[in-house]
Amino acid sequence: MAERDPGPIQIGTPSRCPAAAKDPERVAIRTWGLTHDFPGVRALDELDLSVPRGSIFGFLGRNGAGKTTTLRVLLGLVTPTAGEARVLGYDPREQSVEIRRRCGVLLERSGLLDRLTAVENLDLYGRIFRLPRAVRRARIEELLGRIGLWERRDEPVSAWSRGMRQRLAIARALIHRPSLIFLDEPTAGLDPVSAAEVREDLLRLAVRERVTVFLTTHNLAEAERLCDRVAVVRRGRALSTGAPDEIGTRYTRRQVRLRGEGFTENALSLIGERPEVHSVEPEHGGALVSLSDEARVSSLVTFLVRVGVGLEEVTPVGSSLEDGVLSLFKDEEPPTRMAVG
Amino acid sequence: MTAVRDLWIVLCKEWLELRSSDSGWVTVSTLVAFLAIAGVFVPWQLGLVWIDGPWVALIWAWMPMFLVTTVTADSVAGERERHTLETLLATRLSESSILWGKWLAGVTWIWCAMALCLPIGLVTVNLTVEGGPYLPTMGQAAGVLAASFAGAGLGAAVGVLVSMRATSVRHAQQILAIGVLLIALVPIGLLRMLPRGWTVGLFEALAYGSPARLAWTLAALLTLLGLPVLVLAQTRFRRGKIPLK
Repeated sequence: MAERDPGPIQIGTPSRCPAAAKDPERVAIRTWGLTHDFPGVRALDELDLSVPRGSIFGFLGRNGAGKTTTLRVLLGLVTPTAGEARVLGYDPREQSVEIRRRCGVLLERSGLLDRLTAVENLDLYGRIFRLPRAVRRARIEELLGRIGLWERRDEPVSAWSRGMRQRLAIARALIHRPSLIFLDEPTAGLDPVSAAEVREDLLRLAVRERVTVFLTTHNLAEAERLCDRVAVVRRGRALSTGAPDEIGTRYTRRQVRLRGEGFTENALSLIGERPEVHSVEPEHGGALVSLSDEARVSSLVTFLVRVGVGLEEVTPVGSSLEDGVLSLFKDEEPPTRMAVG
Repeated sequence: MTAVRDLWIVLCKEWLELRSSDSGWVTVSTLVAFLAIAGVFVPWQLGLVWIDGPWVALIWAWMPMFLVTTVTADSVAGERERHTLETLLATRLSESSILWGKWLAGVTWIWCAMALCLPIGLVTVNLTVEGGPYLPTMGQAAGVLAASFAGAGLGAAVGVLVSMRATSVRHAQQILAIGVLLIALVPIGLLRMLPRGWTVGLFEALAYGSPARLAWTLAALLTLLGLPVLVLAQTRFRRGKIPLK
């Protein structure tokens, strides 16, 4: 008897849900006020998220921020205390099987069966996801070929390096051509070369397979390199969501680098007193100036010329995701309790 | 049909893992040693009693009950230790398929070993006792195999249940070892509490009763004990309820 697919949920969508979130064609994941309490600890605190289809979405936060708990809730492995979520249009509370059928996962550890070979690992998950034998074989060859592990297909994975195992686990997550994959810190604990290989494979496979990727990480450089959009989460609550460069500029002050002659102590002191300047740092042959909100660089330049600074170069300094996230976390109070991540 | 296919997949996974275990050759030598003891040594020592002694059904039931715990202690706690449990739970497989697959893997593994002892034991008895051929009745042979299956089933159900909550495989093994000891000691204590007439009746049944009837009674009793344990394990084996770390 064939399994019946109840289809994406049509009723009971929360009233806070915007039109786009009702459309699983455009939004892969949507949460509204998602909350989860462990005994004595609030791991998720009214989390609101929207992950567009086809994107690589970075879920950023420190250890214990609630990243893994979010992932478990979305996969239906943990029932949330409150709030709503839709994954590919399905409710994790009621339709978690449908979600798991359409998703691939790489959790904190690779989850590979050490005693089995690479082919046996992939074949097992191919069987679990009901791929016919011929399709499984072709898919295993295709995936192992793409990540450069085909030659080692018959080795037990217990002897492999962590990087190779992670790459194989990503291939396993993709074996059944899922619409969405969840990756929980895929490069954590890897050396830089292995981490770069994993990232490269991930990017190549995600683009080729046109899969939505939900990636939890605390590696900001990695998120900046891989992700189309990110959410910064702290103590189970999303602080900010947007493209990585947006987060960088949204939460940091605009900066300009000034080069020239005459940046004496007196000149720097005068610059620091200007209303358009938030702070100034002397640099070799110039200064790095953080501007106040709404400040105009032209008025600062006019002032510098007037006080006799021989200005040669004024360069805007871009803000990285790391700058933005650090700025977001700067005013964080020391946590009085630790959420389970 | 879907549930049966999923159960089969989990069963194959468990067998594959058992077969490919690091100590694969140890598993094979253990099996050979087991067959040498249970299939050759014991029948050789007991002679005809091994075939027509009613109490021998107790060995057929108790041995798999004890042996299966060595496999099922690893079933959930081992996956948790190896960090493979959560990945398995994150697939489309139902909790029932995973649980029953694990249970059945333990039961079939041990029961097949026990079933092998039957022909080996019969050959041993017929070679060592003159005047044969000696063969059990069909009812008797089926009865001891049923008692073996029921014993393995009960042991596996308890094993999976303990493994589900244990913090490690070692922890599960410790709890199960105490359990096996209790299974051996508690009946002795209970026998002393029974009225003398009952005890005598029980011993007479074990010594002179119908071997087939005793084996089937034992199988039924163990099944009755095993079913509630399995149901309990099934209610406990739920995503969100099982500790993942």
